[in-house]
Amino acid sequence: MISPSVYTRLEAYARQAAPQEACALLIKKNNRWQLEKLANLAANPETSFAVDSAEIERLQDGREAMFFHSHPFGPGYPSLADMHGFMAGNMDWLIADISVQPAQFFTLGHHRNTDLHRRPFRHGVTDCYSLIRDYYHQVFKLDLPEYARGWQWWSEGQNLYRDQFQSAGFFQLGEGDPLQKGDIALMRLRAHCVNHAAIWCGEGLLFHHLASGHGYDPHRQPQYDPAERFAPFIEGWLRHHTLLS
Amino acid sequence: MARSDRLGYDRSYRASQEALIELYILSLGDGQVFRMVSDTDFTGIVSFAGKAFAASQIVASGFRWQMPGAAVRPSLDIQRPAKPLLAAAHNGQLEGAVMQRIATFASELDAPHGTGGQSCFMPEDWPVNRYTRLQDSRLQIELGSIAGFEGKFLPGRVMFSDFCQHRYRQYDVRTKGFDYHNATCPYTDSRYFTAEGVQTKNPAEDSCSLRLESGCKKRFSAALPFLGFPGVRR
Repeated sequence: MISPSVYTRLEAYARQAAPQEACALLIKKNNRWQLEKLANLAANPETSFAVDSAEIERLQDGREAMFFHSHPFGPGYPSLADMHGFMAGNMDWLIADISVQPAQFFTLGHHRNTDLHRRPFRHGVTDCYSLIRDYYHQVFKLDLPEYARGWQWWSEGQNLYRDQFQSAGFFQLGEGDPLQKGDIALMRLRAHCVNHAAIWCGEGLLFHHLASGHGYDPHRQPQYDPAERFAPFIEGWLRHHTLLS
Repeated sequence: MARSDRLGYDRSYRASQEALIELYILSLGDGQVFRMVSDTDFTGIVSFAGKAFAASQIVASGFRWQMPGAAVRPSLDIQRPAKPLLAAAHNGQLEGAVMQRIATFASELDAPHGTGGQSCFMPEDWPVNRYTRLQDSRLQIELGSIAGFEGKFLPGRVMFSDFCQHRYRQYDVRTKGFDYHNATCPYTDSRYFTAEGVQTKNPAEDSCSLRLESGCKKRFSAALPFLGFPGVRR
């Protein structure tokens, strides 16, 4: 747990560094998070950041640590580069969107979010795929891979659901095959490729996390919907190969 | 980026619209399907939503929506029709056939003509009325509108002011759970109401009155998905 005073200090630091992105390392010392500021070495510090990895290693000194950086002009969700950077290391990432008052903090963490029903839509952190991943972890004890993704990847040339389902251990069901709990409905919502997926709960019900027009929307919570309502958008069904019945 | 024309005006604000493409699908009663697109736009084969449309010499005319007056009779003039189509016309197989007209933007076509968006405007169905010309080199078909046929009434669907036309979930006594197959009402919550709108703890009594006050407003707070028309008079 990070104490409120640490958040206050991080926000003050990030606002002082604005319009540049602020970077820091949080190191756990005697069960308390200690703040170590890092210089942003990027050529364009207002839109990106770069830090000295040797410096991080020296400061961390084998202790538990979190990496912090700020988004001076938003957005309130990780960028594609953020997700790549987070996945390359083993530290949790703390990001602050200081374009809003008060600053919005969110974590790109290696732990699993266990609350499946109350979570804001935050692309890359708690989005439709995160829900499926956390659901599979909780219900089937299956670890699905994480994918670095940027908001609106479906219109930026990526086709993640179509390209990755096989490597994640899923196979496509034939038309008319009976469904079982945990099957995944692939949907295309206002896009040129499959950009949304939902979990089949049986009895005609889907469980999913819809996005709105924004990568961060606290009002969009995971929801149950009769599958009939989404039938026109469903392009196919997937099943995990270990869930063959 | 602002671009100025030779008079110095910035024209970057201009709304640019892509070419609107019309696709024609002629479906015969025996299952034969002919897909065509006018060759003024394309040559060879055009693919849309995975289906191939042959560029043909087609002149389509008379498509419009009108309320008063005589029924609309658009026509499709096909020069040098494909042999199977001509044979079908000679055998009277176009009787009862339906011509579907799909309008879409060029970018929605599959590659190489577009990016494969597969979106289109509402497809229109036009049943074949009669041939106005049947030659080896030319086939002219007169189409009619579905509403123009005998025995058709308008409106096609009844508007109820008091009743919602959603299908509500069903309680399954065997599984002790709700069955959402074919349900269209988005209600999935675990607060139950009887058909009279009285809250109950027994899910087996959960039933919607399909009324605005005793059904919809009890279940939903903000946006009501009521599928009736409270504004109509009866």
